[in-house]
Amino acid sequence: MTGHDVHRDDMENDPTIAAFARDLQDAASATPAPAVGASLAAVLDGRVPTDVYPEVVLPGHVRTARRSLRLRWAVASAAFGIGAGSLGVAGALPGPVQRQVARMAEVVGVDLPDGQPTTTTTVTPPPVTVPASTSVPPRPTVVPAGEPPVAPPTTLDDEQHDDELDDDRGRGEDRGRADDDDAVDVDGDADHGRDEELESDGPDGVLDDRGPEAEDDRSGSDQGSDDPEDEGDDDPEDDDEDEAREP
Amino acid sequence: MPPSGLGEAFDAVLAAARAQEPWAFQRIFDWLGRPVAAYLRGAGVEDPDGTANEVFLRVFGGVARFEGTEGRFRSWVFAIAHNLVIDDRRRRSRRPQAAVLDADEGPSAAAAEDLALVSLGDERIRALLASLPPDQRDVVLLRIVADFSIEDTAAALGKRAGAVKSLQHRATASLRRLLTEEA
Repeated sequence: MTGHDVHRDDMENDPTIAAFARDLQDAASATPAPAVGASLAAVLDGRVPTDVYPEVVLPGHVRTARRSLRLRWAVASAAFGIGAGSLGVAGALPGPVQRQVARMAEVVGVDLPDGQPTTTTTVTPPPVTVPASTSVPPRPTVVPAGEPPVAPPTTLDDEQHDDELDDDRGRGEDRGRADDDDAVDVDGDADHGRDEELESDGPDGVLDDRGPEAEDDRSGSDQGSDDPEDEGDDDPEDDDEDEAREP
Repeated sequence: MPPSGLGEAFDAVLAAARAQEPWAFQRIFDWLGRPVAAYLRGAGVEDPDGTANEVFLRVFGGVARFEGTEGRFRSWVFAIAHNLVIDDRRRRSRRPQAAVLDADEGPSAAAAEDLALVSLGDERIRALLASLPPDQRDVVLLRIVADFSIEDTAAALGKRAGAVKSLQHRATASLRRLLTEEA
């Protein structure tokens, strides 16, 4: 746009613009050279190396750097996508992430495992409904095997009963009971003896877990029970049945 | 007056500048210092001399990595100058305007631009340039003051040649209208 250039451009036939260009060139020529500052003077004198000044990046280099940055982002995104996709196909992602990936893949028609187990191994059985006629609460499974069965009080002689008690001591000697003979009352009050045992917290204290109803059942006292089937717990056969329920 | 080129001496000067020879730096400054300062003043930079110093400090700091012809070297130097012009405009646009409510406090951005343009030495030229948008003004300055071609101007401004032609067309249309009204 200078001199000859002006006439080659769209100002070719416009003397007004050509005159303006000449005036501007004259003004620029009249412009004084810039005052040299201390830093530039040191460089021009060779006193300071130029590498202390910030590096100049050519416009092309800027574009290359931006392109390189975009390329890095693209590669990183692609690698992440491939990795997440592979893990998603394998169902190896953490549960919530797997569900999200499966949901997104489902949008594009790809069926991926959603992280939920196909077969439940922790299915809890439905609660067993105990018929009303057998409302006796289950016995705890920690009762010692040496729990002595309650013998019918009137059918045992002392010697036989002592033998049984000795056997019981052999099986349940950890109960630490020294007055077994006194506890077993042949006059029909043997259940009271057992009540005392149960109420005395036992040696291992495991019978307390049965709760008051269990104690009532074993004591033969049905006064606190509304279940009519509990009547006649004094029958030693019931005790046998109770023993049989114990594992 | 377009800046006279170094001609055949350019390669030797460039090699010496890469070797950090002070005489080569001085030669480059003598060659391009005045047109760079004129461009900076025409662009309305707040501190033309300080900015011109910064331009050449950056040129000398990066000349060791430069490769190209004399024309490309000139485009590179003006591209650095143009980047500093952009920085100066951004800096002034971020400056709080409340600080210049009192005219005695200091020059506003437009006032600083006017002061720089006044240094061109021609009130009429200053008024005409100030009437142009910055993009058009940059094209006019590079085409006339730096004697750049369309391609050199595009390289210095980081624009496409078609965009530079469009800016120049609009600038000449505006100038033609203003000069006609003036006449």
